[in-house]
Amino acid sequence: MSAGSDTSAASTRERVVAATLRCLAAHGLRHTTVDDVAIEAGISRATLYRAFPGGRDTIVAAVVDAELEQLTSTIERAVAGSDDVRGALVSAISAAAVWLTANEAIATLMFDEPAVLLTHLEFERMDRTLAIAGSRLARLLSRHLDPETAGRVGEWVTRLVVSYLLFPSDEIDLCDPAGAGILVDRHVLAALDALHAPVAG
Amino acid sequence: MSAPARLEVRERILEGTSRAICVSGVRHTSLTEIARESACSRATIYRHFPGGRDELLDALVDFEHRRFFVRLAQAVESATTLEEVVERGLMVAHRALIELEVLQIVLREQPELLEPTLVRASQPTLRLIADFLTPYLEAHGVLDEATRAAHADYLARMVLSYISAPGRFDLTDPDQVRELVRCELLAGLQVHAA
Repeated sequence: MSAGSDTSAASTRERVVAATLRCLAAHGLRHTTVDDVAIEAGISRATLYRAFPGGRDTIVAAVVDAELEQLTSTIERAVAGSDDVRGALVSAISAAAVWLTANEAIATLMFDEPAVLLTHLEFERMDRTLAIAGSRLARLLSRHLDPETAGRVGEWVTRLVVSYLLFPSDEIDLCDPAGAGILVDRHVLAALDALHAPVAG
Repeated sequence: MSAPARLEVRERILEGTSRAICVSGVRHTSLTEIARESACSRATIYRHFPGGRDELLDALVDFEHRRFFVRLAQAVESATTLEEVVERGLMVAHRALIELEVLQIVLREQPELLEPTLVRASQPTLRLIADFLTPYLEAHGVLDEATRAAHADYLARMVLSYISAPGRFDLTDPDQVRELVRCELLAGLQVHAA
């Protein structure tokens, strides 16, 4: 295969992913078909299946991967400028919350088909979500924390963000760095002290 | 039929459904099996759940959900300190979830059945746990009402998160649970403790 067709295969995949996201935002998952995606992407069914021989499930998996990359790089950019662990945590939490809240596909799914997301945010699949998101966050925190602590905090921060996404609070808005700061100061930094303090009694 | 008797039959049908699902799975549980397990006639089941299978399964998820939290409250009510109630709550709830065979079967076969209850009941559940923990926070020395409400909300969020997905913690290990409660859950309270 020539370099040229590699590039065009990659761009077909990108177009399909972008088109699927638009379909999800407009109609949700249940009502998005492969045909809808092909039309939205402006390509033929045959071209779409050449790029995604596995069909709908593999397209959805590619969308999840792409969105996870987007979220990760958004958080990476937000954390890059911070010079201490507090700054890194506040930036990571508020950047993640802003991205998740602004994501129209997520908003539609939460509204129309919450099970699609909930099944990844509860029970065993949540353990997988925690492991993936937690280790990515841990990598970003490694400048400020030892690996064990970074892993633990990464997982914990994932829980916080998921909890406030599922159950928005009137008191604390994680999209606002001040809101994220309240949780970080009150709980996370206190726990980091406790982690390294001798156990009483 | 009197109201309490009606309620009793309804519960018997739901308990029977739960047992039938544990034997045959969600999809293959028949009305005949449910009738046998609950010792009710099919007509009685129809009378209580005129919406058929969908209504019955929906009611079952609600029923098991409520029963789970009632049992959890009973299991921890003898705890005297905040640490104790949270530690014991995490361990009991996690074990109970794993051992709740009907839940594991539904999760495996038809997780979408949980959707209505997860959506409808999650916020009230959060409230329920927060309210349950509030007196323990007061006894712990968190005297300011707004501070207490904020900590109760945070603790409820974390308890709900950990019991459904424990992540890196082994919630059957008392030492790990103690460490989790001391750091992630309660460290933020140190400043308030007398």
